[in-house]
Amino acid sequence: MTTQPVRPQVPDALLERAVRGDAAAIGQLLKQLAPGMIRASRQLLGSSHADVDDVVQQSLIGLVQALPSFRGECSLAHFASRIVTRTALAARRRTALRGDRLDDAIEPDGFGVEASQDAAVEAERRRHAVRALMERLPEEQAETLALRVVLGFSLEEVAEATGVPLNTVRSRVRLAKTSLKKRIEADPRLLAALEVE
Amino acid sequence: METLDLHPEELFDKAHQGLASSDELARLDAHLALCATCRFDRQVRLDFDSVGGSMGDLDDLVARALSGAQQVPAAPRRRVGPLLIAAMVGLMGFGSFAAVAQFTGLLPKWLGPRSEVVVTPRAQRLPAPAQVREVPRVEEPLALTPALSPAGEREKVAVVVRRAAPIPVALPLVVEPDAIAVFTRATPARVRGETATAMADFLVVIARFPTSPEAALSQAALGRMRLDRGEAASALEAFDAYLATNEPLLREDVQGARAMALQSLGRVEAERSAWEAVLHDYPEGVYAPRARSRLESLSP
Repeated sequence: MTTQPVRPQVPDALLERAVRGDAAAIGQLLKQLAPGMIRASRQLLGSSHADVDDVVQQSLIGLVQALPSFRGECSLAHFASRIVTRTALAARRRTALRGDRLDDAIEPDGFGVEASQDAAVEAERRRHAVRALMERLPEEQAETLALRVVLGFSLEEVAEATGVPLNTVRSRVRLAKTSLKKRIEADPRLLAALEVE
Repeated sequence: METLDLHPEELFDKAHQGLASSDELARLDAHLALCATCRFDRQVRLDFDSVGGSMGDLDDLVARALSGAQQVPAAPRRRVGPLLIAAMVGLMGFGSFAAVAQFTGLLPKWLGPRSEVVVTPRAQRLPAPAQVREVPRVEEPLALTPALSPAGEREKVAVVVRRAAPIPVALPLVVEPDAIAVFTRATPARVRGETATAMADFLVVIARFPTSPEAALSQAALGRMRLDRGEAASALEAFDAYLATNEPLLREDVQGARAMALQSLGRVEAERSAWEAVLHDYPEGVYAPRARSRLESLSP
């Protein structure tokens, strides 16, 4: 199982000051949240994606601007994660449309050629499959898949962060997994790796 | 929906949080043994969890964000309330107008009653078998008018007036496997090396459900299997059939495999074009290094 994601607990007093617009408190708060947001950006885009830093920067700015509307329905870390997720997914879709995707190149050992035994390459191939799928799913499903599979949120955490009922989250996860299933079954490299587990 | 589509998400969460009982863990293991999607889910979470890297200069990052937040105006919140109210007022006004017009008999032409005249070629009126569906109640065929089909053959066309609401008609129900079921059956067979079985099922999907996404995916799978068997020409046909659809899922892989098929066939110019297309469409994709390498080899 995965390790629990690092989600800093923001003290209430600091949060209150930040929501009121105290610049020092906002700065302190951003420093606490930034590492998680950087990591989320890399997870969602791929470490070598050209937009990683831009997404972090845009997300931090978006977080500062959204703070006054934060009502505490979820933790601030989840709130920040959702902002990064939406920003990153939008960036991926933009780059995919431009056709200049710059992330995670994998060695081409595709159809009809020998599969790489290198675990790192296999891991990157799986991450690549999920990221590519997120570009094609409807936005709500892509966001749910990103929060749950990429960032490791529980169903309840996804529901809190996105502000939708738990059953809606379940439904989105199921639909996203149906698409994931097709993606896996259609790719012999992914499927073969799972079969020999 | 298949049983395996019901993934035990809550159990995954409990196991992840260390709260699952031994019974629950056993149930989870049983599901994982059967469900490749959930095995993939579990594995890829570990993969994403291992993504790290240095954090850089956080002070600088935060300073730039604070500065940026001051310079960039916050996006205005969407105000849907006034729009909704305007739409409702518009609808109410239109409704009142229509009611008055109908009462007074002063109906404009475009609001008048429409007689639903449906012209349906006989061949299209037969409902598909093996389904329970609503069939429009057809009354009083007024005329049988000969008409010329595009092919020039005379074909009888019935002009009918639909007067009553559709009524449900139960037709014999025969359960047939759908595209997903056949495709899902074919894929494990391919993995197990049962090539003939898998290829037969992929062909069934293509023949019986030609417009389904699974048909396109079957073309891709079939092409790959043929390529593996050294049947490059028929593989190429399958790849071309896939690329003729709008299915995006395997486009990158199929384009790469198509180029390899052309390489096997020794069609140098076509191969060159195919690799150029791969590079153009996926310059940083999984086939890009191979494309560059092949294009280098093919250059005079």
